[in-house]
Amino acid sequence: MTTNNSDTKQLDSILAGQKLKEGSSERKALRQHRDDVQALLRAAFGSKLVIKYGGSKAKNTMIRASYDLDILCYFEHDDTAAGKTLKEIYDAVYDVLKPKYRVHKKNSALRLKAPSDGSDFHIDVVPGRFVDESKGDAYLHQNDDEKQYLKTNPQTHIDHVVKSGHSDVISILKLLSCTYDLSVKTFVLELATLRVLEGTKSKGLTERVEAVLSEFRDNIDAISVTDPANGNNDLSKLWTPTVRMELCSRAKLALEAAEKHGWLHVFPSTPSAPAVERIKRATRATKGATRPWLKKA
Amino acid sequence: MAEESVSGQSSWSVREPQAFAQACEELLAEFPTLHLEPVLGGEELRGSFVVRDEGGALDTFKIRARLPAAFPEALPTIWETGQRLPHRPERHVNPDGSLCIMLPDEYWAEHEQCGLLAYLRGPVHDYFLGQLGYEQSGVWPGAEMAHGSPGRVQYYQRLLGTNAPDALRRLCDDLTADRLERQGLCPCGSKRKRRRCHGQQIARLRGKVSREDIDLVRQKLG
Repeated sequence: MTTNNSDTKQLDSILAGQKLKEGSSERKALRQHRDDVQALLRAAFGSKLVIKYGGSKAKNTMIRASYDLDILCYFEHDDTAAGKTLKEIYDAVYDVLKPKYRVHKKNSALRLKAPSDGSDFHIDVVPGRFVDESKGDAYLHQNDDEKQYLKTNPQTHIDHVVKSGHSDVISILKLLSCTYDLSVKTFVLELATLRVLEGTKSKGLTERVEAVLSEFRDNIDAISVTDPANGNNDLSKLWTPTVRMELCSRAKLALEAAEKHGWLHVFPSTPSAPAVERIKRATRATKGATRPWLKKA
Repeated sequence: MAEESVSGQSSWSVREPQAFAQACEELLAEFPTLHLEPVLGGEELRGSFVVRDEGGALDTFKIRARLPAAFPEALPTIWETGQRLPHRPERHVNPDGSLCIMLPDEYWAEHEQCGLLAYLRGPVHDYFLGQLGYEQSGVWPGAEMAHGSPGRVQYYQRLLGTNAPDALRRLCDDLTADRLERQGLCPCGSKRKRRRCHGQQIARLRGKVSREDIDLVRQKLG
């Protein structure tokens, strides 16, 4: 596949359109929720609790098409304000959030939704406890796994992405995953992307994206993924043959479509806010449109 | 990949591999954010559906569509997978999350087979554009069918041009009768001959509409 200037500009403009801009309604809402969550947790568990951003916000890979704000709330290794076990901590944080939010229990995180209609606030609260006083490694409770806890280090994960210099490529790959509705977990997609790009620094965005997709298309089974914060974390359950096959087929499709029609064809640009007037005009113009109907009253 | 449905019918991609390959190629050009692949007992379409106007993309919806083994003689079932649409009747989403794109009778009255791209371009696009309109105004823009059997009755009233229950019932009888009297008076009550009134339309629709659906209309009419 040939890379030319216009292709490069296309991916750059796609990426720019995916940024959540300062002052945007999404950013304001996220910040407000973070402040509310922080106030609730501090009131319940005191000021020693460490609350900070994790995930895509900290890694600079957040995209408008699919964004979540991870709020890490970690207790000191000897702090029992929320409970002695990881499960007790997880449940105690759940209990504090429940009166204000509709809280969905995920594997290690708590997803916050509107209490009235369940609309998504895009916020994951991740309770945990530091392993020791260095406040580096932390333990998380796990609901869905045979092993009920996981050792992790959020700063190592953040550094792994940020220091790689490939946050931009990861953002595009996340957009691809969102566009094609892939089942691959973002964490594993990041690791696989960085594995392909190991040692690559100076190339442009398009060239690196194409390199990753070509490797996914041609050699995906040869790509191994390891958790940089915990070599014992078994990722084989996330990097399954099915996940790899799906990623391989969509990488092929994306490369084919981009080659024939350009990257804007693969990632169509949508307005950052609802285009109210255009929607009104378009709906008015569909006279004779088919009428929706419900199968069972 | 198993290629046979529970009914024993092989899936579309197996029966008509060329048509399937062509649809994949056309999708890539027109709907590049959707991907079609064979799955157990049929085919699945997955990805982002882009709603457009003349200015370009307006918005996207994540969807999954299941093509039944009988496709293209049966319509795809579509789900919105981005958890954006509430499963509520006023949003035309069935309780199981599948979307009420349109009354199937209406589709089959106009088409012999389901053309996947034309279906996406037409009814599916209309539906999601309607959802965008609803998000803005809280009401469905343009026309919509009543839910359940009343919607079917509405459709046949519109299609056959009569609101009179007795006339509609008699026309429905004609749609499913084993054989038709060609020379008699039209059952709509116009006092014209069948062939000069609803005759041609009924003849065209017979065989396209399902007896079960017409029975539901008759039941509703009482």
